[in-house]
Amino acid sequence: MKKAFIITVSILSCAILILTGFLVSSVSSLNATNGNLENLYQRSFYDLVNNVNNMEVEVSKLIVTNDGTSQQKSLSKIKQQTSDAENNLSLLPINMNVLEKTTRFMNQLNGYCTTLITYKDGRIEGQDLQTIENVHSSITTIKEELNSIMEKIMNGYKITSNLDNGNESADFSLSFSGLSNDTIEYPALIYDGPFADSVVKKEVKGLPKNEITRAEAEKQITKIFGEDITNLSYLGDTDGIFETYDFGVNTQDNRNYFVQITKRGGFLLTINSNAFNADNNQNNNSKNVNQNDNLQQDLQNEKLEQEKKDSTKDESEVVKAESINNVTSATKKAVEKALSFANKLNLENMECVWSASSQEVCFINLAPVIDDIVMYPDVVKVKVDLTSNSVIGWEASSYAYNHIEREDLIPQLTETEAKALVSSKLQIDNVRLCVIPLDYVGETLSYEFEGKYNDYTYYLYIDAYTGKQVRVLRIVQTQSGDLVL
Amino acid sequence: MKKFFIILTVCMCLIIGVSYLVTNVVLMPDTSVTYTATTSQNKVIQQRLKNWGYYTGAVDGILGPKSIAAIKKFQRNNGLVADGIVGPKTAAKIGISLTNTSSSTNNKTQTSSDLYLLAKCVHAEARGESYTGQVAVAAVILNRVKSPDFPNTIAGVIYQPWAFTAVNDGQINLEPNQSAYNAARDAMNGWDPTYGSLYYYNPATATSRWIYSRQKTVQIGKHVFAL
Repeated sequence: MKKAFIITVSILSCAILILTGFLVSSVSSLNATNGNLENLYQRSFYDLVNNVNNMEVEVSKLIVTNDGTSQQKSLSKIKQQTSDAENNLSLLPINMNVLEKTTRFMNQLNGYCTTLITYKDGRIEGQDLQTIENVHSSITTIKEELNSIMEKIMNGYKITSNLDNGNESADFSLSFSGLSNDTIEYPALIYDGPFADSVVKKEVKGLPKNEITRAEAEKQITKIFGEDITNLSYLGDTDGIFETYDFGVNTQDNRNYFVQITKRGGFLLTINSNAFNADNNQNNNSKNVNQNDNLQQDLQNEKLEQEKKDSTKDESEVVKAESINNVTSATKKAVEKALSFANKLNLENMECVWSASSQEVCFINLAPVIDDIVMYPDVVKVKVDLTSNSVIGWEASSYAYNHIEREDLIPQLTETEAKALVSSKLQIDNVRLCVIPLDYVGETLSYEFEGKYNDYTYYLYIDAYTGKQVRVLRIVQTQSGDLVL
Repeated sequence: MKKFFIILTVCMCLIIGVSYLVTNVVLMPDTSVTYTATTSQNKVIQQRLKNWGYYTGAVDGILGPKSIAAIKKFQRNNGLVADGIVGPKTAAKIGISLTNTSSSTNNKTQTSSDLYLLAKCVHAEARGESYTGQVAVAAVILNRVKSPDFPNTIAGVIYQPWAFTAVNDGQINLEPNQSAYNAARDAMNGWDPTYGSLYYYNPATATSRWIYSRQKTVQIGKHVFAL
């Protein structure tokens, strides 16, 4: 008995020893991981401090120099530092609500510099100089805030021990609250460039002012889907940039569509349905998805996933590779379908300007062509199911934003004059007039030159008023269609 | 009594074994991901070579020694460099179009890696939601990329610390299904049922009071979307 007792105790203590060994090794490996994480965070922090310090120096240089060239140099440096600072901010484990204003400031300062470099190729004067002075005072405050955090870190403050799972009240997030409260004033940067408020908050120009009722919107939908509707349900309103009535539509071919009609003018803004499988849209239109439905959806998704893994993707790619002619004719049919659908909605004179098919869907961009001028800002995106050749998606927000009757579209340059401005390296195949959106705000009439250089197709746009080159695009053909870069 | 000790010992061994496994599994994240991107194209190559009598093996999409030997033979007979690799010239002879994909590999991978990441996030965050709800989640991510208040890349937005719960708890590493891919692709093509929303939350579980101060745009399934 005594022997047995000794054996038990020794086995147990062995087990405990071994388990302790595992525990120690896992704790030490956890510590190592934590240490690496701490190092990464600290690196981002020190980089950020560095970015802001450099930014402060360059911005102050901008104020005291009068020379255009050195100002341009400083602007480029500030641009780089703001972009790096934004990146480092996003890597730091700080609650995003705390960082929102600082991130916006960095992004907009970056856009502001880009605009100054690109469009004001000269000196910074007047209002811009005033803005730069305000920017300088903000950056100085940010610098001071960061320096006080840096002092803490230099005294052994561990970022990873003060995270509290991303809670807003975590100590590390709180350390940065000086950047989000009222102690710091971020200047309003007014410019037309990347991340500008004027770009983010676009005005809706293409919709009439009169509002329609829900019943009228329902009538619209009945008109669009016709006899096919088996069920129409009202889902609620959306109050985003566009105000819409939202509906769920079931059709005879067992598809479910999500449809949005704008309150202003009753314009069909969106139709969407899952491309993959009609059955998968079972709860597409149910606002209050219950637990059971979720489960079902999960099961269905899993099934679909399996199917996808098993065959579908491979097969369709094989089909595509082997019968390119068939696919093209299917795409042609899809384009016809999209055009007739647009026609039914009274969007006339539309033309296909781009298409791409992948697996069983074709994405088609339509643009109005008025007096032989292509209106690119008013592009409408249509998704067509290639198997049934039916429209399963419609996205017309660009049209709703931009479509107006444009007047005075008379080019100042002749086609020959514009052609002379195109590089002689480009072998021109086709020329036409179009209206294209400018990079950030506004649009312009321009000549579109389609041409080839080294087997690549390029589209070059020359402003028909000023002769400036407004854009170059290169087409990259992929299996799923043409990519525009 | 002896039996009891034997059982005890066995149990101990089992416990140790299991705990060893557990510690290892917990400490070693699963990194086994298989890529089968070119399988379909390989299958086409094998099928064609088989039809023309160069290849006798199975059409399985794996270019093994038999396939490579067949490709070499095909290349020799067609006046190509017999290296066993299907480059643009060999592909053209076989009758499949590789030229464009291979010359634009970089551009193509760039786009599809974004699509993959977006689909992963949609799957992790909204696989229990309706299709429209999934497109909406993808659209919010893309709206953030465009917004000055957030990072400027898809990866930057998705991996922003604590921005998405499903990224924190590792669900992001689940393989996305077709529905998530479709939703991600629709959003990248411009569909946005929320029209500009930057946030969403589940009113049943949201803990941050701050989120309620944002202007609500629409509710789709369990998610409330806000500007």
